[in-house]
Amino acid sequence: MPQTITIDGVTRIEGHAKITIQLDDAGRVYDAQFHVTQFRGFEKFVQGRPLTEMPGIMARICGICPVSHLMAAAKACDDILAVQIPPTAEKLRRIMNLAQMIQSHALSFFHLSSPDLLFGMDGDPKQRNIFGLIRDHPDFARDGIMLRKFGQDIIAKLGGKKIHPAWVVPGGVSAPLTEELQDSILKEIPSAIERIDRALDYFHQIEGRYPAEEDAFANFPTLFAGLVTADGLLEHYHGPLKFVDQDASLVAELNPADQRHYGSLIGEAVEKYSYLKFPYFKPRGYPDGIYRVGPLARLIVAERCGTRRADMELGAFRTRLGRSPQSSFHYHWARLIEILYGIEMIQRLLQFPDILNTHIRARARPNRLEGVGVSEAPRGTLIHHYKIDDNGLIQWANLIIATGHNNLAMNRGVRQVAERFVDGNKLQEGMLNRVEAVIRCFDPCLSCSTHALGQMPLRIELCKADGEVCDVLQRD
Amino acid sequence: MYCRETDLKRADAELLMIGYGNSLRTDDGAGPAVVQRLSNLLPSQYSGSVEVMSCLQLTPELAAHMASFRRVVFIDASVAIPPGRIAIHRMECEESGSQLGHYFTPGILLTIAASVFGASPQAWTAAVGCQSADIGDQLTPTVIAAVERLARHLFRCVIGLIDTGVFSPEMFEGSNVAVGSE
Repeated sequence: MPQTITIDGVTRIEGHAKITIQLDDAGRVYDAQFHVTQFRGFEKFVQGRPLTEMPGIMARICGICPVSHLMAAAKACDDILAVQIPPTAEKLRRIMNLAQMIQSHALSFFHLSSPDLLFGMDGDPKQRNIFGLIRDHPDFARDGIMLRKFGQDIIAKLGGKKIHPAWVVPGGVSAPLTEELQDSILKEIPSAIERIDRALDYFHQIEGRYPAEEDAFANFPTLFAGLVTADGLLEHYHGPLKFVDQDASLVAELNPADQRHYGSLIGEAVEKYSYLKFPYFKPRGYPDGIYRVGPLARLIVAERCGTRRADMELGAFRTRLGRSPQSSFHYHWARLIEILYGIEMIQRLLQFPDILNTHIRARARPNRLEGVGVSEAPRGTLIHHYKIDDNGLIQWANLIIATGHNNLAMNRGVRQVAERFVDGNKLQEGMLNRVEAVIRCFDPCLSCSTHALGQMPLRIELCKADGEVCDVLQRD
Repeated sequence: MYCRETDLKRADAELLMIGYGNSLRTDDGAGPAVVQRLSNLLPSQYSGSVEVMSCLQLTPELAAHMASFRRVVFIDASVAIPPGRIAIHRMECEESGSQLGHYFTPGILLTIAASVFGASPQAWTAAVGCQSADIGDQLTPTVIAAVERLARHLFRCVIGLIDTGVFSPEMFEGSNVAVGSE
């Protein structure tokens, strides 16, 4: 008799979600789904608000990556104002965007995912958590905290506070960088490099221990998407949006001026079982147009990083895994490479001669009734699209969140892991942890408010179709 | 083998008070409001030994900052006590648990400060019972009054700490029941 396993809620992710696994009569997995059970309503309730409020409102979508929404919102506003922001303002925005990526990647890798890697997927769940990490690996935990602090401190120094800074504004930024702040950030660069070097060394000692997970963690051919520079290098703020296939061959590209027409390449489907949309590559239809974004995708769409140390590490990555590794397990390594790149690039940007210029904002009234802002959030490409009326009030908004781009891949990944590891005749915690762990590879961010996030005890029930409970796993 | 650092911070400042909460959810902003009031009350000459700060939520890097202090007070809104009431309790490290998202508790931060940064500040939680967590940037009148009482109480504790070296915030309004009301 067919049965369903429900994992509700998924732990060590941001937001609320559950996973269901459907079993056939023999207890074999025949389908699995990742459900996002919380609702966001930002596209609706910003209607009627003045355009100038959009960066500040949109930053409130998330307490984890407010800077990402701030960046995409400000770029959409720039597009509506039809301004080219001053070069110094662009560099300062880039620094904050990279700082955001560093702090987010550090939390994801060191504190949410590394317990699985350090204690093993089948490790005792009473140890395989933040307490086990800080007890058994305090130096590793310290490097993670200090790397996150490095990113958060830069955001606070530039924006005045760590969460929801209002410093990025339409047309540029609201205050210039001072020499004192420049020096204070630059002096932290060497220790940040040391910390990520140590983390990479340590990662190389453990990453080969998981061949089965490498093989089955969302390991299938898809397209990959992300921004690149005009020269094809790794990019997080502005540039062509590139889609490549499983061999890293170009499939489609949208230059910045054409990104208003993102709808020609990206469709958005919905499914009854989730509030998260299912974007897909439109020329291939739904659901065949599956693609991935985020750190792994960015390293695949880019020819190289463009900074010395990160390119050396990317060389090691490609030597071991090939030019275009398809397993989402490798998001972890990609995240560390991006942290290294971010530190190097922040140093480079801070050393530009014009970085202390005080011309940091272009001012204009709306010159278009529609604008699109595209940037790279830690989890992938982020698109904000607004339409205004003649009074500058928002009439319509559409957001394509990084986690959404990965929705099809996460669902297929959950199914692949379940098929490989879950035995429906007898539940084991390690099996179900792997189902969650494949989701954590993508580091999905589902929340619009994190302060109220409480405990998420996990109870998994294996039920017959008539509702009779056959087996239960409980995690407090 | 992973390298061990030797540059652990030493506690050299007296007191850190952290008010946290979302000031756009009415009374959930009680913690930051207490900190705002304290920053007005505290004389500038205390700035070298006493620090107040507010944040939306507790984040792991706060543990590194806490390691520089001998004492920490976490100030938050609470739905577990009646609106307008204040509860102050001494707290310890959290020793176990398996769930973690992007949200950290005071107990986890204490554990991180001890295990990762080699610091064990004394710590207290100071909670203000909230009446509403609706959308809005104004506290309710009941909580405004409680915020003022708690800020003045903590201010007196700071004065006591500077004058006598003793810090006992749980002795509140003539009682150690740790609860005060209007």
